[in-house]
Amino acid sequence: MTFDTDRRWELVDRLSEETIHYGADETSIKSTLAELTVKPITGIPFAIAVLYGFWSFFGSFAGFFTDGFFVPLFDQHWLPWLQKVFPWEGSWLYFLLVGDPAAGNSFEAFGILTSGLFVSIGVVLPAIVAFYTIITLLEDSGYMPRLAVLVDTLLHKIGLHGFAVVPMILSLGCNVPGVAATRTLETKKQRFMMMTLLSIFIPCGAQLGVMLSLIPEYVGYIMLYLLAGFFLFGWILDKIVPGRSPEIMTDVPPFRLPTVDNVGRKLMVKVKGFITTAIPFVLLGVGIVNLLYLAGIISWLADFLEPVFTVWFGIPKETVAPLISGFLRKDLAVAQLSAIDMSGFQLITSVVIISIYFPCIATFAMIIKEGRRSGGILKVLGGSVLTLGTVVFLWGGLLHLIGTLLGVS
Amino acid sequence: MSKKVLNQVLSLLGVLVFIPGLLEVLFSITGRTYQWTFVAFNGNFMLWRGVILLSAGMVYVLAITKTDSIQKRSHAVLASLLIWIVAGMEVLAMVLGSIPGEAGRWITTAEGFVSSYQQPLIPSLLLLPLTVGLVILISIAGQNREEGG
Repeated sequence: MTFDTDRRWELVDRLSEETIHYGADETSIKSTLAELTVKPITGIPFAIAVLYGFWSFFGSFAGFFTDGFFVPLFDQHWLPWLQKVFPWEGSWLYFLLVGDPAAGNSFEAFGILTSGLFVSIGVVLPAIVAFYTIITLLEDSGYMPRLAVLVDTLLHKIGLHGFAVVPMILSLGCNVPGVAATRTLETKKQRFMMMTLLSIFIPCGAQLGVMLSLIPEYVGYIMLYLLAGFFLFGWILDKIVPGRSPEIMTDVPPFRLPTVDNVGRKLMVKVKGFITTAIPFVLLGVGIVNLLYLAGIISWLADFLEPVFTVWFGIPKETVAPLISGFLRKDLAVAQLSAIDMSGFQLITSVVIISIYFPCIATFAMIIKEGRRSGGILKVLGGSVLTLGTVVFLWGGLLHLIGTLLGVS
Repeated sequence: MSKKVLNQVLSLLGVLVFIPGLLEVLFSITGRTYQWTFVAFNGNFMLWRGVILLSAGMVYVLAITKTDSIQKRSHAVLASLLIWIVAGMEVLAMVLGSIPGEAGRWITTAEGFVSSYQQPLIPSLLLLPLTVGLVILISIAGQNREEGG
């Protein structure tokens, strides 16, 4: 069926008559509230409250499942049962699948069927569900664009604009969609900067989940140090990377009540993506690290890199194993740190270095993919790797220096 | 509700919210905790809870300075929303924390469940009924205004 131009215009008129209503714009409490959330004097306290709500929900929800049910399930039932019934104790297969036969908890056992399953299902899955629930609610309520307007001035100081907050927040869930979301930024310079900064300074939800489970008292300090690095190195990159940082105009939609149907559907898609892609990576990560242990490569690397680790960063040489698994999964790497004997400050430094030393393999692949449209793979990847190499040494070394000066290192 | 009465309510709430907010900030900076019969200044994120309460108190006071009725009421609702976020998260944490059991039990006992609610509350939770009352009053006043044309 085809329509001529007059018929089309007639249809447009009929549609607009049915959908558009004309009248005086009445100011309501709802519309004024929407305005107040973008004005700094009222918007900043509201943003702080939303952020508080975010963290609080994350902690309560993930804690309920992890500490309330998964820790007892894995530590009191699954691990002892597996240690008892799995044959060939002392063999390489036992070490690979069950891990340390003397381990008292699933974090420290470090076998594919113990730590691998516990980290991916018991710790990270509840954290991911909690995180994506909040993100979806923020997206569907219309708060995200308001946050973008609110932080626009701050992000302009590092050559970005307010909408850069969207990849930032997405990266707090997973760096992969965060890097993909940088394609909404206007220039190659902005895309390169954002990809690099995200992959270095923004820990993913899975990593945050493990951090909150293992070292809740240090998470605030770690996040503060990473955010400081994000802005400092962002400012430096803005000065040295050639290119434009244009202004943008954006439409801020009205506040809307998220519907259960939409939130549920989005949540299902995101969680399904996590289950199918991340869980195999965690299991693979544990397997590879255990094989490297068995082959003696971890011990060799630890001895080889000892001067850098102990002198420059002030952390134990054993941290080399988590750094290797960090290339596969950062959450797994942080979980592995719990089995290494170190001080509180060394733990903070190790977590910071795991966060900034190299993006995980999935993020790395996404940078390569997105690099094509942001100035060329070699240019983007080369620039990112150069930046992160510099950042690891400077930002990691600085933290050790701060610890030494404070007498806690 | 007349503008004068609303201003008086907002002043009272502003002070009632500001003082515990300030105390939470001071306690968290000095690393102290305090507990008295039904109110507690302790727990995770106390500094942030204090900052949010302080901000809510200031927004109530800011509402008093607004001459436009919609602006005044919207500021009051926003300040109440700040308190609701903190209180709502505390309620969620209490409910979720009261379910898992200890010492080999998956679900807690009835006594354990009840006792988890018999503890001093953070200031935001105690302020919750007052702020809900204020927003209900604002909503009723708004409906009356619309009906009166």
